[in-house]
Amino acid sequence: MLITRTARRKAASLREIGLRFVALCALALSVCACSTPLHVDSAFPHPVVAGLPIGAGVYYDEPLRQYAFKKEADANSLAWNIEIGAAHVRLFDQLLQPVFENLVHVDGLRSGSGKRPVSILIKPSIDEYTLHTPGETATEFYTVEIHYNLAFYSPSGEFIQRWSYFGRGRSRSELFSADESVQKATVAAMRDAAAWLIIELTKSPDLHTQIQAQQSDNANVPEDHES
Amino acid sequence: MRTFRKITSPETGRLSIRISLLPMLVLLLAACTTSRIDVARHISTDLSRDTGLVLLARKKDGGQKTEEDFMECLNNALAKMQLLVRIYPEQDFLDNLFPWFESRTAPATPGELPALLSRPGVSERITEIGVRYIVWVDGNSEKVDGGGGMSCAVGPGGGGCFGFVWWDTASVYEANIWDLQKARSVGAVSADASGMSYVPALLVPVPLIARTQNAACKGVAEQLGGFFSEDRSL
Repeated sequence: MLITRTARRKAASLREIGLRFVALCALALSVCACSTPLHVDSAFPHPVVAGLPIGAGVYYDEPLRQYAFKKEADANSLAWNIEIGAAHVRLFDQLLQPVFENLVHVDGLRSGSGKRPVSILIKPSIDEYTLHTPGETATEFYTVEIHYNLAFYSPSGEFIQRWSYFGRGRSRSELFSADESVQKATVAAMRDAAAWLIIELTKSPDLHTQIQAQQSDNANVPEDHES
Repeated sequence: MRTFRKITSPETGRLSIRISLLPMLVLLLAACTTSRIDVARHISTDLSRDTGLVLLARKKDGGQKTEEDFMECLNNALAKMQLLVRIYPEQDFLDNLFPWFESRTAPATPGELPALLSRPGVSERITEIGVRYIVWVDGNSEKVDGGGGMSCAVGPGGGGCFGFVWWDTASVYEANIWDLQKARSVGAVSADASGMSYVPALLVPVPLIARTQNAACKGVAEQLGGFFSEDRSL
């Protein structure tokens, strides 16, 4: 009888240890393995620049709108799922509005319904997003680098030229707030790239010459050929 | 005749001993810090309550070396002083003048100010927000050396640590003051603080931390205050 009681106690104790172990593993898995999406959500300022006296159309394709950076967990880093598409649409809207006399959204590069009331079409895209964690760089900073492409098209959709540029952002690692540090570094990289772009857009003589040439070409082309 | 007699009970005696030991303990807990502050003045400041001053952390590669808590400490210290200027928030300044004070676009020297101020809308925006003086803050605090070791253990009967850890911290900061109206440098303040921190552990670890960053912050703030208060002198 005594042996049975002791055996039961031992079994209960083992069960308890087993349950605790399972709970601990579940907790560790939920903390380490799963990554909740990090939405980069920030307001961007209106730039102080002199606008160009032309109208522009901007085309945001689905890859840009849905852009997300995903990374599996490894020895030096947690798993990451950083959604930056929506933030970039907001950023480009905010940046391009003051640069052009009027800015319209277009839903494709080829116009299906006649002539567009713009001088140029712009299609921004994210080429690459890289994140370096303090564990990878042996520093106390999260570093983000975003590489972009900005393609310019005529109103009828012919390719004119492409600009490649990048932005870099850093944020100091804070205890228990990796998300916040990555968000700060991402916004810093977006602002860095945006600052360069806005200055280049308003000063680039090549682009202006090409837009003017495009405008005179458009003026010479009969309207029924546009679509 | 009434006489007054000091009544001393064993309880109050122990209390007074404890009270006298407390400052000694506090002194013991604060590790030594040495600091040096240098100031250079080029021109005097023209001040009024409408004049705005902004503290900007110098950025490089999309980020700043200077810790956010150092900037906060500096802003708080200046806000407590009786300055003849008002302090304008850093982020508001950067947003209002986007993209001209970002990591890659900010002027590196006062000589670049005339070109920046001649850009469309920049000068007007600066006048609108009323900022005349910029203080560029650069530098950081870092551990430069260290050693020792400590081991901690926990058992059913309790736990404890044993060992000794030490490290040296150096805080080096610089603040350059620019006058946006005159487009030139007003002066500069630099602070260099260093100190050694210790953590001896005999069951309980006792951290004796050298607050070099705080010493540098106080030193820089005090000298900056001299540029923007009534008793300023060239």
